[in-house]
Amino acid sequence: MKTFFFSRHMREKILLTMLLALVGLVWLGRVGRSARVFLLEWRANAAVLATQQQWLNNRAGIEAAAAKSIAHLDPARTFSSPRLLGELSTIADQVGVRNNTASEILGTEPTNQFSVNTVQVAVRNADLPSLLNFYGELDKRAPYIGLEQFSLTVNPANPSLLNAVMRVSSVEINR
Amino acid sequence: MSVLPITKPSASTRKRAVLLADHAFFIRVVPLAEGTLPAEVPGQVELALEGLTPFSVAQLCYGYFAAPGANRVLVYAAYRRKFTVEDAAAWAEADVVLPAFAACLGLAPDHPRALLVAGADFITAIGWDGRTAVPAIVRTRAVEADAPADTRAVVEAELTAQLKDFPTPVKVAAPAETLSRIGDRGLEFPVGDLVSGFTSTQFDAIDVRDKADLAARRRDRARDLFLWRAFLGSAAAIGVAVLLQLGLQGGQLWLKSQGMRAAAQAPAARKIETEMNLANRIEELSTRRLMPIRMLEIVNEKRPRTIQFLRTATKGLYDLEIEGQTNTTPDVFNYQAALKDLPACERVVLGQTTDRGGITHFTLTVTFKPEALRPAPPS
Repeated sequence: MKTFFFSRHMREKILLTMLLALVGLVWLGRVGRSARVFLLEWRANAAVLATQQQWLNNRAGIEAAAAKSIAHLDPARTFSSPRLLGELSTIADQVGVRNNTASEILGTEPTNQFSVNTVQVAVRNADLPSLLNFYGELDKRAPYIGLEQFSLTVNPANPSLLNAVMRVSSVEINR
Repeated sequence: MSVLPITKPSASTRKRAVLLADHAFFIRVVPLAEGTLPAEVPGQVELALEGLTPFSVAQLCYGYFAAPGANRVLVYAAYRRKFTVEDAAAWAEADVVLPAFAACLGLAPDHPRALLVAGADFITAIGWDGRTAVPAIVRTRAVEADAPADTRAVVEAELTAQLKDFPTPVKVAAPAETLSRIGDRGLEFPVGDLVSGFTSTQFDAIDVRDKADLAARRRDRARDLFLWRAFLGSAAAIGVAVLLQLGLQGGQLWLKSQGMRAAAQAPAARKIETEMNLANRIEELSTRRLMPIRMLEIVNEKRPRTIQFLRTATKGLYDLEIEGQTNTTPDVFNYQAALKDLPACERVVLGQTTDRGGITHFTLTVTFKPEALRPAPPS
């Protein structure tokens, strides 16, 4: 190769060198960009795997903690989504706001040992004592039924009436 | 101006050395003034040649052998027209052209020594006094190539007699062109059992070709070498790029397998994560329940009668967002200050406040201390 190179004319040597240098630079540039992308993907993937591994390593502890968290609950008193809807309807009936109440199942998050069901309840045009009663009845059912979010709005047309929107969740033990 | 121009050889026909017959040259040892710098030696040599020969330097093929610290220089020169155009063409192909005896000068013994260098048609005597690497005496005689042995013996005896101040001369065959090589010390020639070597500095000095042409050749060599190194560097860069490319492709395969592994264990990990989150929520249902009515009771204690709540909403377990209105603007700030003073409140932040038609609308976010909202233990 050296003999071939040295036997070329000067302009051929310069052209050959420039051509090779250009190819080398372009190729190295492309490979460099690919390497950077690869590095970013590798880091992201490593982070995901590390997080997953952490969860998997702590599986036994988390399952034990979950079991402990429901140990004091009576499975017979827990509520599935339909039962929760029914219970909320019963409470609304008890406090006299059934006609003003609308409920909607927002979802269920299941695990091996239990599920958590979430329902949104809206009580329209109710007076404050009725709402306090509603809240009081809900509170009595804790920790089987819990309040996660609560908003209260004054009815613009009649400030003595209130609109309440509540996000309620219930525990359902899978046994 | 060179009488015999040196044409550029092709690399395939280039040979290392051309050794010329010694008898074509006249050889002199020229003393150097004390303290002569190495850069001044070429000028001193040219001056000496002007004085020693009837020819101008441009009409001579000459070379010299100098050594650092030596107080003399060995000069050899030949009339340029002694050599033909064909000779010059052959020289152009060589890395170095010099008389055969000069190939032995690199021996540079550190003690007195004498050599009889026998070529095909010459015999040359070289004597070193051991004080410097430059010989003290060099004498050469031409002999017929087919001269009988006794004729050669007479010439050798004559030359040996001239080396009477030196140890008994060792007879060696003149170095062969084909045995020259680039070794550890630079250009090397085998001389008997010894090796004569020349450094890169001495390399051009011992060459008898035109010095300007040699300088041009040196520049060409340097430029070619630079281009060759750039060529090699570029080739190496491509090699590195190829290796990186292959490595990346391998890496992508590995990354894909890692991605598949992550996808495979994602549902299990997500399930465990969900289980923990839900367990926490159940724990909260028992111990850290949302207490919106208690929050309202606390904030209502200090509410001025001029302030009306329009909307309240919980944010998490301990935050309450209040949207209200009043026709007495300062009451908003008084109310904020009063809430801040309550032991149950950790922080009170006044958000967007607007005044329109004498009615001020405001937003307050109240953060309660957890202990103020702790529920009674489950029955």
